[in-house]
Amino acid sequence: MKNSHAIEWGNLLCCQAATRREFLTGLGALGAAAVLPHARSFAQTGAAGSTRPFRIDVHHHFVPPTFITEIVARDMGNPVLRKWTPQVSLDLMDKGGVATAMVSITRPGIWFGDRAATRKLARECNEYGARMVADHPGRFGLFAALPLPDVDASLREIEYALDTLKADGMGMMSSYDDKYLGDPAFAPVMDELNRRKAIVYEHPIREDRSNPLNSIELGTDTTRTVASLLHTATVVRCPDIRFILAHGGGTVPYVTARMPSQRLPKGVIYELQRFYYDTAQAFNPYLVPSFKALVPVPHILFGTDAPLGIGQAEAVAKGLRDNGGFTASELRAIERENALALLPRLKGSA
Amino acid sequence: MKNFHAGETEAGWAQSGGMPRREFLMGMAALGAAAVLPKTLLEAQTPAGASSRLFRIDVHHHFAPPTFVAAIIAQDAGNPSLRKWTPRISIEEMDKGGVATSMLSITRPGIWFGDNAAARKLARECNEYAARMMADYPGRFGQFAVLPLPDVDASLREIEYSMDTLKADGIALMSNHDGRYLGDPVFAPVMDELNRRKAIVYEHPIREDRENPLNGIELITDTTRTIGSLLASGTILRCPDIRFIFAHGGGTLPSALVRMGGTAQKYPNGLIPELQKFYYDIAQAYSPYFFPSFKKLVPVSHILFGTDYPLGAGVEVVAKGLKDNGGFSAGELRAIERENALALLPRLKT
Repeated sequence: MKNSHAIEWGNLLCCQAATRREFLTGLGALGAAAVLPHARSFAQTGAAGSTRPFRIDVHHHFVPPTFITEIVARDMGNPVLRKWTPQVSLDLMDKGGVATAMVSITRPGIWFGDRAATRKLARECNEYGARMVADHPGRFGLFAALPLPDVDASLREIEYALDTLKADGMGMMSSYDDKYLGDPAFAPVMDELNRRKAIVYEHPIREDRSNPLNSIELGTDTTRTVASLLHTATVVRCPDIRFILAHGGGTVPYVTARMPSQRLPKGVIYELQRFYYDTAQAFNPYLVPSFKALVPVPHILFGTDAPLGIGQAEAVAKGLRDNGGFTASELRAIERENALALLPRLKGSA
Repeated sequence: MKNFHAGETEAGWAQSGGMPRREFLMGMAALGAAAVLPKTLLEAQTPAGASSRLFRIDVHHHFAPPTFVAAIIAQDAGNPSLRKWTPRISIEEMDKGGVATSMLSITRPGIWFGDNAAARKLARECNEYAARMMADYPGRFGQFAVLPLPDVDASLREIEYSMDTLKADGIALMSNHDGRYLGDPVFAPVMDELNRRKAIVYEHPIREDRENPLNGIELITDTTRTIGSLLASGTILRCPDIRFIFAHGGGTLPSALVRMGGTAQKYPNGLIPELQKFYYDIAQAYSPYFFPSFKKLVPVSHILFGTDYPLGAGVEVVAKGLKDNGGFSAGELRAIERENALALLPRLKT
């Protein structure tokens, strides 16, 4: 896929073909405007003359060198990923008022068909993430990658990542080998995550470059995995997993009536409202109204998708401000406090 | 058009539980009497919302003629409730739910099962059956005629026959035919002809994969896919005179368009104005979570009442969902339930 998020959003927001430069110019204007209110509301904690980082970005991608090697070898993933370094993240965070970014691996994920290679890559990514957390105190948290579909190796990686590396949760792709997260094959992993009351960060994955409509499939893949979790009642069996769904849950708010309900004693909506949802790519004026109708404010988490496309935090924040109809305190909850409730160790940051 | 004499028609319908002609005519007489009363008096008599009056126009109403039922039984496909359908079942639901006119269309699994000759024959039989219903129940039915796609030549002939001879109100297309979406270049001659005729095209999703317990998600998303295909291929620009009606509120559009930005570059004013030219029905799309985004995207004048009958929950449930969850004014509800369809289908005015 081309590096197209910025262009996509340029089109949607401006209703005309915006070039990247035009778009960035727009962002510059935006950033300047945004400094004032935040500088004021956070004046008591902020350094004079600049916005003190306060946002917590739960949807932020890191791209360790070994992962870059893999996606370059396969010519997969967004090209922007190849240029990533921790400094790219830190610069974006500083510019966008982000105190802490929760890092996770993005598509195409780390499973390319070889179990041993995936085990090794998961371990390398997770240790790299842990090192970032240690090297930049307070700036990063880690949703560790799993070597699924290898269940045994994944159980070992959960133990290592959570107990030894002190990861904040596990990052999971919407599917592995076309099996969605409610698949019985993954039940041992889900049960262990439930036993640990883990945070599970879900991110869609769908790579089919022969399909010109792949972008629709990608957005729908979170929906599929939610449907799978409901269909097999995994959410009922594993009530202590705190799921965070990427991109406002994909198309979930529009298809609640199509969700499997047979095995949910408390109903579909009850279960959908127990999930957490991030705001990455989910703040356009047409999407937010239904998203907001479905998801309670305490379960909306700020997310940017950085370093991809317009992952810039100010653009996301502006979208939420302009399109969400949220109050100032709701915005603060979304941009920071809701994440703190889920990740109390971050309370010392910012 | 063949000459259908009343005996043939009634015998066929009586066998499958159809309404005897006498009963029908008595019903019509009663109706005629009611129609004489002043509108205000009628409304006063039916304070609950006039479900006893026939005023709604249901653009998403399925018929299942005997040959179609035979075909889906042979394929063991389609919703089982289709097998019990008769014209009388439609009329009873319409009378109960205040539907003056239902626009008939064939639902999934469609009529193409791999054999072009069989599909041609089945299309013709379905379309003639619907034309007969229109003749036998004046004013109560309209028809979106089915095409034997992917056979393009036969489809061109069926467009001519159904529109010129049978006087169909429009053409019904499935979201895909043999895996090809509506913007596929293979279908361009059909779309061009429909554009030349300024036809109404009624789109309905099709996705049959009974191995997949999550097929409901794929089904609703198939409308999104075909809209993506029509936009990406430029069909919308080439065929501006087709009036498209999309089923189920357009599927998952508000979320999916986040990722259609590459496509947006083809459109001078972006995608939103194009999406706002389409019409959308509300069958299966009236939840409190669906409406907020749907309303933001779709102008009220392009929202049409649709029930999915004999599938779905019935006219009254849809009407209640629309009223309770849509936040529409009384005037807007009247537009959605009737007047918007009249603007599109002026022959129904009489």
